[in-house]
Amino acid sequence: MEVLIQIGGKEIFIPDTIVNVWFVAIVLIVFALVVNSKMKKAKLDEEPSNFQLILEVAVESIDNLVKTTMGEQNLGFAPYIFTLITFIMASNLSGLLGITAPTSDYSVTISLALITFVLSQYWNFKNSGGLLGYLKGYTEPMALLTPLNVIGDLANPISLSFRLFGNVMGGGIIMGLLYSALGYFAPIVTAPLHIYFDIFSGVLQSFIFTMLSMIFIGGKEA
Amino acid sequence: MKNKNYKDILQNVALVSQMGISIITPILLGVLLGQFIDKKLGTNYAFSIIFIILGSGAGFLNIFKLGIKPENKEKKDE
Repeated sequence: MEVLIQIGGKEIFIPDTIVNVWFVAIVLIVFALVVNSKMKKAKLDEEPSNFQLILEVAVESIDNLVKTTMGEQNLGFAPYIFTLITFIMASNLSGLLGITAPTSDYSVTISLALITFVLSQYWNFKNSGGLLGYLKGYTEPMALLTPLNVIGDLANPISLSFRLFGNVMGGGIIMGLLYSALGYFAPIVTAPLHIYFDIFSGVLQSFIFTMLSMIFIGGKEA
Repeated sequence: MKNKNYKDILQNVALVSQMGISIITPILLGVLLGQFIDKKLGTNYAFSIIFIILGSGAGFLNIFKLGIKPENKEKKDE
């Protein structure tokens, strides 16, 4: 569902993937607000509901993941990592609803990767103690490798975003071709492929994206 | 314990499958950067060649770093 906005005679075209980003974001925000209000009502002396238990397991497993990958001192990143994994997973799984997956738009994945990139640079800057220490980090292990370090660092967000984009986009293209080629017989063949491309690949890619984000952010000082 | 193994496997899958694309992106970045500078300065291929070499080096350095990070962490944990 594309949107065409006209502001002062200028037409702004918003593709369907961006509209789907809003859809996924609104669903997640509403879900978070519902969870928030439910958690506020939860009492310590009462038995927790199933819903609460499932969410506690999810939050705790992400906390543990951050602890093991980034270390105990970086536990403050857990909310960001949780947001990232839920957003990417919801985006990838939204392909099952018949809408174009938001992550098959490169602008979505590059913006997610840029958030991680800026965060990792900021964290690196903060931990290296001032501008000099930060710049010195690029000359390691020796001064000759400085351009290689700079190019390598700039390539990280690109490789991170292209891999998620490529996986989701490729799956989407194959599914689209199959649907148009097979016509009415498509549901027989495409059902197992949906399990692979949307569920397996989608969940795995969202996990890998967050895993690499954690390594890029937390791996700097290690 | 079983849970931790599972996480280790997933982490290694993430790292290993990232290595291929980690080599190719700095090289592509080098090609684009080199071509851009060549066009701006009017030089033929000089900067393209320099940046392709730099990009390949950066690719190797990237996977070296990617591979060495979990290793460092394991040593820290011990």
